[in-house]
Amino acid sequence: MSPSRAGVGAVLLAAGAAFAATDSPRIVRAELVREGERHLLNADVEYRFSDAATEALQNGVPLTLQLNLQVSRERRYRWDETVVDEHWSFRLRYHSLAKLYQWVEEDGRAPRGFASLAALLEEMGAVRRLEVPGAGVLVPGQSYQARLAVSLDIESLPLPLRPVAYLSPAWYLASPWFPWSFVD
Amino acid sequence: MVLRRLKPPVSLTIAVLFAAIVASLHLMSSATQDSSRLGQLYSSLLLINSLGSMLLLGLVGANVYWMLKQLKRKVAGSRFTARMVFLFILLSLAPASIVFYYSMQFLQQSIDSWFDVRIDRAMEDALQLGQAAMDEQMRTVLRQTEQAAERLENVPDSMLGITLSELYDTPQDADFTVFSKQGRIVAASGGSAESIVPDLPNEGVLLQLRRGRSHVSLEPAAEAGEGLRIRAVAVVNARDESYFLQTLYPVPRRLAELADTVESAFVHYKELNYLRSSLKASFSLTLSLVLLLSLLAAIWSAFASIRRIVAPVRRLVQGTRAVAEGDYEKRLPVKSKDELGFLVESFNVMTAKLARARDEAHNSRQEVERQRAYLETLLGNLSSGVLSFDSRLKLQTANHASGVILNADLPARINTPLAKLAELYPHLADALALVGERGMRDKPWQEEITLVGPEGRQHLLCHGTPLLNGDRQWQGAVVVFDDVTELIRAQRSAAWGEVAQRLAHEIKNPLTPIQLSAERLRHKLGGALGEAEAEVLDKSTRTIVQQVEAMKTMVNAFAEYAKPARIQLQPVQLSQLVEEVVALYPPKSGVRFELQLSEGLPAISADPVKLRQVLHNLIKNAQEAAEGEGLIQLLTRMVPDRYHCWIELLVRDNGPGVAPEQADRVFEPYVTTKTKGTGLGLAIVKKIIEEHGGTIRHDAGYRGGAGFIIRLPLPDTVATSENVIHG
Repeated sequence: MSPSRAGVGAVLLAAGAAFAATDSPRIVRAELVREGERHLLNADVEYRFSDAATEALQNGVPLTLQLNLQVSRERRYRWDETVVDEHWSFRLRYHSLAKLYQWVEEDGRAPRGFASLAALLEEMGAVRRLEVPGAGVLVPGQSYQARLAVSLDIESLPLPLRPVAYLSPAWYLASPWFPWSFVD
Repeated sequence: MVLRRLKPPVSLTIAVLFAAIVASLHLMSSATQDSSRLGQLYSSLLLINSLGSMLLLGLVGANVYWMLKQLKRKVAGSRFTARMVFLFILLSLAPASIVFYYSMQFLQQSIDSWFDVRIDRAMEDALQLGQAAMDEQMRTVLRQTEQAAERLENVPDSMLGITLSELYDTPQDADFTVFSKQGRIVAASGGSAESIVPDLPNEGVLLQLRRGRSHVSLEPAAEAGEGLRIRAVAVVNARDESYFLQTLYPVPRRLAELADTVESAFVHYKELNYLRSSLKASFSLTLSLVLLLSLLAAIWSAFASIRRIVAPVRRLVQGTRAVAEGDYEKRLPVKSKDELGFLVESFNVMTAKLARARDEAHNSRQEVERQRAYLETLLGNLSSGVLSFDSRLKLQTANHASGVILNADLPARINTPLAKLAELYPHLADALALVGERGMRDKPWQEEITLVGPEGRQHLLCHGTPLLNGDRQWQGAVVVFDDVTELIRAQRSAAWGEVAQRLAHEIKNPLTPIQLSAERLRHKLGGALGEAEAEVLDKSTRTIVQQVEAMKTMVNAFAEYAKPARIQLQPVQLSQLVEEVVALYPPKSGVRFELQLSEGLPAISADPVKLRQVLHNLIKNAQEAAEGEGLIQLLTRMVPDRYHCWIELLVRDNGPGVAPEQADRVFEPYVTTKTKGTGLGLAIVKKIIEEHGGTIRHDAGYRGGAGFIIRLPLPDTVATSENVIHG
């Protein structure tokens, strides 16, 4: 996502936050664990799609979801320093011929198909051992503040849908930030 | 000033604004039409254009507010601006609205025309056809898998791999995997060498299998873009435990390609169909934004341009107002070389000329004022009286001297007609009538006029000049006159002096021989004649001697009168001097005095001997004139006039007075009504008074007898007697 798009998205999302719908994703649990030199993210996300989003998906409109992780370090007398800021994008689409809901990840792996949207969302909601590449900067023994959120990337929607998506609460599919503290 | 210089011209600003708007709109339009890289900027462009519209709306709103405010305040040029703006908006809004309406219609219809029920149906059918073909493939693969699973039943675990290889000995791309319920891979065989780790089904499929049902599904290949594959899983009831046999069978390439094409087209069509209303809204939004932005930019530009066009007109109106209020210094800046610039320049030239004319008029007025003041001063200080009349014989000018000479407050009677003046001042009636009659003439005239005023008879020498305009038409007259009364009197006195001197000289010389001869005759013949003749002789010679003495006295008096002045000036208290002189006349002298002497009068500079003579002469004159007991009133006082302070002495008797016809000649020698005296008394009095720089005149206003008014100057207010006489 380019900075300008992020800026526009931030402005319009902020406007849209006023009508945060009940059909929004929610993060139930999240943790960042160290495994050797690697850091792995485990999280449980409860995905809930509005009827508009589901209908669009079934009509061939791919939906892109974005998982955002931010880790910051507390500093006295100053703003907290954000040391990790990671994004993962994955796309959902409906394969008409195979009658499958597909979960396409950015890394080029084969899309995973599901017979139902619920099965897909359940699978997608269980984030397990997701490697955080930028977490190498974390210092062992140091305490950090982390937060996780998931949102629908409106800029990835087809162009005609974007103005409507920005203005309609049914398209505001973004979870609130889920914060937690941890000691690396 | 620097800021103004740095400020870009309006036209450049407008051009840049339009370029920016067109560029932004073009980008947005391009972004709307395809999903290329510009598509990613769509939202940003939409936002930028919306903000631009709001900015322009704000600018237009501010301009409209400004215009309405100006209209309310009735500022110069505001109505013109409003009319032009209204016209411009009308002209631009009308065609734009029409184009917008038909564009929207066209847009809606065009988008609707993309979609057709038949195409919908064809798409659905194509997909179903594809699905049917795939279903056939899937059924075949499932059947094969189930058959293989049956063959693997009761095969020991160690033999599963070999049996599996035997079953699928024909080389093909399919992968075969036997795995346990826990997902442990027992045996694997397949043509795709890439797949080191076999791809196992997900939890949902495993759940279905655990229930003892086979599974078959179509899914995209493991590698993206590799087409489709069929996953078939059947339960293998082995000897020890149940396993699952999974077949991953790639759909034949051609079939996969066809299916993919159908699927993509279907998805695209379905997506488009789903987005139809959004697409319309999006295009409409873009079109509306284009229209709004263009219109707002045009209106704002119109405001800017109109303001620029109206600016010189506004300045002209302000300038005209300023000129109307008398500010001729107003200069307007000439900022353009067009007709308006020419108009502004002409205005500047006009105001400059007006200012010059105003200055000239002002200077002329000042010059006139100066001339008038000069003339007034001149006339005011002129000893001659000056009067001027207009064409209706109304008094226009009267200097101070005219009032003094004519004993009338003429300077206060400006604009009074001549006839009215005659009524106000009856003693001037004859003179004014004459002036009126003479004044009507077209030629200058000169005349000596005699009038009888409060101070006696006056002789005026008048010069009249007509006032003619450029066409030589009579517009009025100027009359200049001098009081020549004193001059005539002085001439007469001088003549008498000359006569007296000659007379004294010519007559006095033979008198002594006559007297001596008469005495000698008496002496020589007195003894020789008889008594009677001697008495005659004595009487005759005595008469001769007496008359000669009398003639001598008379001649001496004449000589005295004609003698040049020799006065010894010293400070004299007039009232005191009067008292001293009066004291010399006891009551038995047959004259009674009535004194009204002011106390504390300032001392005058005079010769007391001469003044005593004056008083004696006047008292003697009154005494001689009185029939019976004489009553003489003597009064002293101080009289200020315009320039001098005088000490005035009034001498009045109760005698018969002076006849009016003699009043102006009473001070001449030998003008007397009395039988006694030399007739030189008053002439000498006048001479002495004039030697002191004073005046004496007959008090014409006094009717109880003869009255004389003597005025003697106070030393600090008048020149010496020498100056008066000889000056």
